[in-house]
Parts: sequence; structure tokens; C-alpha cells
Amino acid sequence: MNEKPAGGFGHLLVERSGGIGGMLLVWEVDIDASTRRDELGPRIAELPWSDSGQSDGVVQSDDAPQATGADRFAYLIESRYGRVRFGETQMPPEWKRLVDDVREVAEPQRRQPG
Amino acid sequence: MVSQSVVPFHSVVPPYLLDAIAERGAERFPKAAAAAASCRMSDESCRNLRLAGLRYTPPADLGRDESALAPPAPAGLQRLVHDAQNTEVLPGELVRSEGEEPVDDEPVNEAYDGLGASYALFSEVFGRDSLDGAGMPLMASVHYGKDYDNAFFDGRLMVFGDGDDEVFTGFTGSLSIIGHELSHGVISHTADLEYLGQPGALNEHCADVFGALTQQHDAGQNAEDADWLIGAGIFTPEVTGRALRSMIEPGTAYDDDVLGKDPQPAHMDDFVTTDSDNGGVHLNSGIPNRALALAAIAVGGPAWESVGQVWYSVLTGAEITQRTDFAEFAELTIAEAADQFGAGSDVHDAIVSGWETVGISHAGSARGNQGSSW
Repeated sequence: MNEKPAGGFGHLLVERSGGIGGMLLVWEVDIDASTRRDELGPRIAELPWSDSGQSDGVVQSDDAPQATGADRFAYLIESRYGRVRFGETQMPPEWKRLVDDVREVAEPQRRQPG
Repeated sequence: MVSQSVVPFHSVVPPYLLDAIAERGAERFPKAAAAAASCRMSDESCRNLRLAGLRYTPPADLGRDESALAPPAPAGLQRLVHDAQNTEVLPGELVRSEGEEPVDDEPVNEAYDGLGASYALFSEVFGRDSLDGAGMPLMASVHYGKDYDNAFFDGRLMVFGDGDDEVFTGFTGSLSIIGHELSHGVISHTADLEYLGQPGALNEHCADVFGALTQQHDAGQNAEDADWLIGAGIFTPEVTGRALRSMIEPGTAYDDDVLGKDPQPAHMDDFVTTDSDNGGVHLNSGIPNRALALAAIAVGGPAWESVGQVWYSVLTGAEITQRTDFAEFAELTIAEAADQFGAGSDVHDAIVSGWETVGISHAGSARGNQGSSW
């Protein structure tokens, strides 16, 4: 999928919460405006958004991604293709690579939770 | 002879062998057994076995050696500090074991000393031998990751990042943080509160409680003289803040242009509903934190002798569940205070008042309420 989809690839948002400090950091990238659009856009489009982590964005006791151990980070990744949540240790390699790439191209913003 | 067989160190040691070494090798090879236990926590890196000079006997041979099968003697304090060498591979290289002299690496020594102080609280005050109550080695890894802004408990191992040197310094620099992480280990072996929503916030709360008590006990400090801060000193001088959290004044630990304002609520009216942070476990813990700190200060004196006793009994008791919520936990502490100190005692009344102040309402008694009016 190398063609730019109608309406573009849109924005990608990575939110990191938790950790012992409970602080919220957000990295956001406008993929279409990014110098790495041709690399990131198709990768994002091809990720299994509906089959990874917890995809409905609602934290429920029985199906929430449980952290392996306490004080680990929790991640939310969101784009026009979907929304997924992972515990820090439960993120598949392709998603971790995406998070690492986004952290390279975007400055983190600290936000208030809730 | 145990020494006749040698672990093929070029390959990963099978888990059943690590189990055998860890569970049955402690008497002869305490360091190796501890290192084996350390390796079991991760599929990665078993170099500790080699560093510990381990020679193993297959389980069949162990079966012929009565002494090797004997249960290990109570272990007491056994610390194993590893260096993750700025990777995310755990546990890393074993760099300081119990009884060894300090090394030329301050985070290693801080972790070693911090584990000792935390162990001392649980052992001397609550009569608990390590995380599992049975002398489990205390294992830590320092220098985890690159610029890693966190400390965590991964189920067996306490792990500390170095921080980014812009916002955070190293996480071993705070005794309350080391105590917090070790306390997560105790919690996982006792109530094992689900790490989500209110039970998750209670998990964080209890880790903060015993982290703070570790620091106060180590300093011989009374509740009214304590700062009730978690993570004091881990911010760089560039940050406008005192600590990660204030137990006595949640929401006031920092207020910084970059970090923003400490978002912890201090009252149920401000309870944070969020999908982030496993349902705000590090946020809403401020509410029970304030209740405990208020009670401890109202009673005065060493908090580990008053409210600390109540909290430990509830945490390790039979009535708490993995999904206990704030109101149920409050009821358990009040009932426990009545049991231990008497209904109407200073401790009991202070705990009742603490919960009332943070807006945890009475929703019926989990233990009959012992005649309390709360």
C-alpha cells in the first residue's frame, strides 16, 4: 500500500501514561507533512489495528491489557485506521518500532490526564 | 558430586534447571541459587549463573543427594543487584551480592542500601522475611534502558532507570521509590490487587505507604516530622517540584512549565476518570494516600507502629480481595484498627477521620464494623 489514501494518512498519536510518576506524554505526527511520510504512511496503514492490543479504547476489568508488573508504562496509539492500547511489555515489535520512530520525529508534549 | 556437571553456558539454561537450582541449591550455593532465581524471571541473559560460578546437577542427580534436596534454611536478607548496562535486557550482569563491599557505581550501591532499608522495615516491624515471606532474594537491576524515566517491579525484579538528566535524575536516588518498588513485590505476594481502576490505585497507594514508611523507619522519624513525599530529589534542578507525589497534600508535588501541575486528587470529589495509566492508578492513589497520612500525623509518633500496622494487617489479611475498592478498603482498615487498638482508640478515630476527610463514605460494613459509628 504505497499510494496515499484519499484524505491522506492523517495524524498519528502516541500517548504514554503510567510509570511510577503517572505522567502523560503525547507524541503527535502529521504523517502527510512528515519527511518520513513515504515510509511511515504505508507502515501505519498496514498495521493490524483491529487485531492488536485492546482496540476499543475502553478500559474494562476483564479485557484491559494488564501490565506485566507494576509501574510499567501504558501506551495508546491512534490514527485514522484505529486505536489500540498496549502494556509496555506487551507491544509487538512492529508497534514498538513505530513508537520508536514517532518518538524520533516528534517532540513529546506533556498533558494533564483525565 | 554437584560440581561434576557444568551448565552449557553458551545456551539458555532450561527453566526446569533454573527451578531446581533456585529451589534446591540454596544451601550449597546460595549465590548461584539466587542467580538462578534471578534468571528465571526472564528469558534473557543467564550470565549471572556464570558470574556466580555455578555448577549444576541435573534433577535426577539431585535426587540422590539428600542435602541438595533439603529445603533451604531461612535465607534472611539476600540482595542481588544487577547492571542492565543501559539495555532493556533483564536482569543484566550481577554486580553486587549480599555482603559484598560497595562498588564504584553509585546507583548500584543506592539500590543495595535501599533494598536493605526496605527489607528492614518489613522484617523488623512486620516480621516479614522478604517479598514472599519466605526469604526470597531481593533482586534489582539498575541502568535499565537508555535515558529511561522510570522504575518498576516486573513481577520478580525491581528495575531502575537512570533518568534523562533533563527532567529526572536516577531513580535509585530516592529511598521512597526503592521502598515503593519493593512494596509492589510484597503486594503481589499478598493481596495482589488488580492493577486497574480503584484496586490498582490501592495497589499504588499501598506501595506509596510502605515506601514512605521505609524512609521514615530508616530515618527514625515520627509521622509529624516526615515530608510524606514519594520520589523527593529525583527531579533535576531545572524542574520546579519537590517530588513525584505528596501523600499529605496530593496535587502539590510539582508545578512546572514543562511538567505541568501535579494532577493527583486529594478528595473523592476530584476522582479522575480516565482510560490512561490503567485507569489512573497513579492519580487516584492520592485520595487514600492523604487519608493515611492525615491519620498517621493525627496519631503522631512512628507511623509504622500505628497506622502502618493496620495497613499491613489489611494488606496481608484474608478479607481483602484483588478487586477491593476504596470504600471496602477503608472499612477494612477501620475494622482492623478497632481489632488491634480498640474502637474509639486514637488510631481508630484518626483513621475514621482520615477517610471522612477525603470523602470516602460509609457504605456498610465489611466486617460488621465493630460498633463503629463510621
